[in-house]
Amino acid sequence: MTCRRLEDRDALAELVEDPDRHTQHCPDCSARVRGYQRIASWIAEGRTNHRAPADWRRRTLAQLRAAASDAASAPSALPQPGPRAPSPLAGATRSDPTRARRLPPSAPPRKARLLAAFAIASAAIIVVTLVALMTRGDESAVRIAIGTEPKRVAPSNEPSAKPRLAPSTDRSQTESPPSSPVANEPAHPPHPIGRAQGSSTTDGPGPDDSPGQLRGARVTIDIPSAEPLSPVPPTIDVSIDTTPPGARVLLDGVILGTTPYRGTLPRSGLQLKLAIWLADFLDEVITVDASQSITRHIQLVPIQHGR
Amino acid sequence: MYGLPVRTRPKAQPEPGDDLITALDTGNYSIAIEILLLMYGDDIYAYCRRVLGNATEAEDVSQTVFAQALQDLKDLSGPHVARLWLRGIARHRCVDRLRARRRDFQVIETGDLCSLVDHQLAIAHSDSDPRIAKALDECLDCLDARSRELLVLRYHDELSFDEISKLMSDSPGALRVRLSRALPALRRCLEGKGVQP
Repeated sequence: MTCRRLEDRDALAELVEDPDRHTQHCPDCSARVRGYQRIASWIAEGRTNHRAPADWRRRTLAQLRAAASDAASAPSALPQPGPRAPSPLAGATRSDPTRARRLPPSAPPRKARLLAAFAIASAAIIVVTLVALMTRGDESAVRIAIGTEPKRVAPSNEPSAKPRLAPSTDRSQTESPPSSPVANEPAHPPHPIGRAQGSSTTDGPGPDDSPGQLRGARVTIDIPSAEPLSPVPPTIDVSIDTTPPGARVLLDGVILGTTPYRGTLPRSGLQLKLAIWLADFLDEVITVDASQSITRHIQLVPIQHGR
Repeated sequence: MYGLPVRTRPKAQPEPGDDLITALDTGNYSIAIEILLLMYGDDIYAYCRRVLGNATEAEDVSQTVFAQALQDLKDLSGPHVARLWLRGIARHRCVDRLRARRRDFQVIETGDLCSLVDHQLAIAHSDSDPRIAKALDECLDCLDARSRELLVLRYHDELSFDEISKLMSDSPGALRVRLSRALPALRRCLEGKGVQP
């Protein structure tokens, strides 16, 4: 090769596609341009020996089926036939390729999230209301709240009961005789609820009891502890071990990590499908309840190669 | 815009069958995506493998392609463009992966990989020789990722420099220079493996 004009000008890309006069008439350059054109044609024809691994299609199929079944349980996640509507991932391939990552398929459906949030909010309101009533010592309100109207509260016999916070009032002094159980109670008597654990005992229903209840029956009411309720953590702990270790833990195709895996997931009432993948071992899919912490140990089964 | 005189014959592609058309018409997308996977799975994997130069990443990305395709099947205008549609998704996902990879550490120099490849393959010069594909695979893997991506986008996907510029965030002029330097490197590698283009 004597003429180096072709490669020295950083114009090879253009000359390969549109040879100039020199390239067409120079024997060296024309021969090399034809060579470059052949290389380009090999790339254009997609000549490759790359083949997908034997289990790639099976794994992909399993992943797609899991995604489709998840989407079927949440109708809004799978495209529905009919007039076109903006898909959550629409346009991801053209305008904003990163949108697909912002909306992973593992995200719970919107409807389920709303229901879970509503349930949590309702439970919180009920708990706060009960605690407030207990703290106030409003016995009548508490009776209404817990659905029982105690007639006489016996002193707690448990030695481990916590000391009363309010000025001590001997319950025996406030006990009314059986004939008039309610009339002699103070206006706002200190109530064991909110001060001690244990149970109170009443001697039968009050005057406004329903006719179906037995008069004079001894009713025992379990009084919940007044200790502040510990809030439910918003996440659950996930602990997954495999034998052998090093397997990928995937949630709807999203890699969470490798085993031994220790992590957290958002708490919800959903059933999550975690896939465990390790090369040369059969895939494992475990269904877990996302409302409580998860600890699993999985024995992976090796793929038997050959027939 | 320059023409591409290199294309010698149209790429063969399987025709979509009635099953795919029926599945798409009836909105049975879970069946449709399985048919698409069977028809074009290997093609998409091979494309991702060529662009990415890494089998593991190609597996991940090609799976992502079909997962996204399932989400976006409603956007598929017809079964006859399914292959190009999937290829478009694959192209964007590969570009994303390469972009993310540039933020990661480069553990092994590509030049070191080239030195590991046997340069003494005796390959015949016939266009139908399957060893050309093998040599091409190896030499493309030896190139740096951006050059490989550019070669595939330009010659395989037949995108213009302006279109590639938007994908790769490089100016068209820089892309031409990069391509002008990648082609001789690729040729030298092929010649080192006994392939005379």
